[in-house]
Amino acid sequence: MNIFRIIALAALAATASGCVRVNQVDRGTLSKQIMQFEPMGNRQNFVSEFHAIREGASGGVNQSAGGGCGCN
Amino acid sequence: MAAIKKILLSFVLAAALEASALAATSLDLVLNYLSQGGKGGRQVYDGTGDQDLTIYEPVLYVNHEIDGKTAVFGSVAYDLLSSASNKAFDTGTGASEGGWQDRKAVNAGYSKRVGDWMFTPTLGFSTELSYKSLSGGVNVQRFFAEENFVLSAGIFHYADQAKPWDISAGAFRKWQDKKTDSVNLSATQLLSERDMVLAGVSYTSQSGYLEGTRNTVDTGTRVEEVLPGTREKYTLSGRYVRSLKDNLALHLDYRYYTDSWDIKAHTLEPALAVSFAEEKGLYRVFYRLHSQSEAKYYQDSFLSGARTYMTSDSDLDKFTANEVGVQFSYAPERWEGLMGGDWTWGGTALYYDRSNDLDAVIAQLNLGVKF
Repeated sequence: MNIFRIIALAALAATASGCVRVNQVDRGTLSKQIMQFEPMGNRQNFVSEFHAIREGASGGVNQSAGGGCGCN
Repeated sequence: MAAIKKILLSFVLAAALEASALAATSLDLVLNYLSQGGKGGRQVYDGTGDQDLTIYEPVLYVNHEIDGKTAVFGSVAYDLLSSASNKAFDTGTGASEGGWQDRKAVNAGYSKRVGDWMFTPTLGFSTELSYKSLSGGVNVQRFFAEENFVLSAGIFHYADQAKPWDISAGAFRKWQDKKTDSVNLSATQLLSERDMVLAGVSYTSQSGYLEGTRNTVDTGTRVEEVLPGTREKYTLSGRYVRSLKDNLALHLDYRYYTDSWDIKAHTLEPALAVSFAEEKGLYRVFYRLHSQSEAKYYQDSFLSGARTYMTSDSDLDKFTANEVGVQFSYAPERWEGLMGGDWTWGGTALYYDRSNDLDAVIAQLNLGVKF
């Protein structure tokens, strides 16, 4: 797949809702721990490393790129 | 290697010096345990396919906020692991690295917010018996429209080295270089007062020694796997979070993956996060489905004839993996202010099952404190 096509699609998707504006005072719900992308923090690192080791299809945003470990 | 250690030590000391004007420090000790089983490992030297693996890994994370805009952080990990496939390899070849092995890793980083920008450089180092790694990178974030929209870009480099065993010569080869460069770009957008979305792409380029140091193929006799010296990986990710009730949120993650070895994969992970005890506690229940096609160099065996590139590594095979788990964290009220800190503890129980005969259990316990 053409990486530039992926980037263009992602940028389009990300900016399509760029007109939405949530004021700071209205972010009570969004700031809760249950709304965080990684609510369990550091514990996710080991699980992500396991996926990177055991699945040939590793890598991605906030994920191991496949370096740093010689695990078989 | 001494130079590498000096660089890392200098980095950590510099961070510690800047941290002298204490503001807030958090420590998090995580105890990781992995028990893996399965007989589907066609890369295993003795032909049994035995992929049993046990890992114990304590990790200490440290984060220190110097002020509202600056922080230093780092982690130190020590892995103790025992692998059946390694023992089989050693027994068959005399590589003599079997039994319990260990791995040490240290990471450090610094984050600085300047206006609508956030800069986060990081460094990492790890070493084990036949592998070592030095990594560095930087992540840059740009906040728009009072942080309604955030763009994030990261670039990372891993300078790794592997020490494979030469089966025919019955001796270790010299350290082989393996380089990994990765760039990623993501955008996060608040959609309403109750939901937000993230979209991201990444590109990774690897070169050098990309084989597993102990992976073999069966050509009538057992020989080392042979893989190309380059690999390019692409991913497209999406994450969505929506609040369903005051104490309940739905998470949906999806990732598409493709690479130059012809592996294509889809990964979907829905999860529910529930808070309790006036948000002092949190449960997360999740399911993960991963489906991938096989690498074009993969075959169960090569009895029909050796190829230029050949692998029987089950991780590069076609499979579907199902994973379920639950995580929790809790900050007991009676622990507030104990020894001058606010304490939390938590745990994880996870079960992973792969269609090509591999399963695993992961258990985690953590204890954290913020001063």
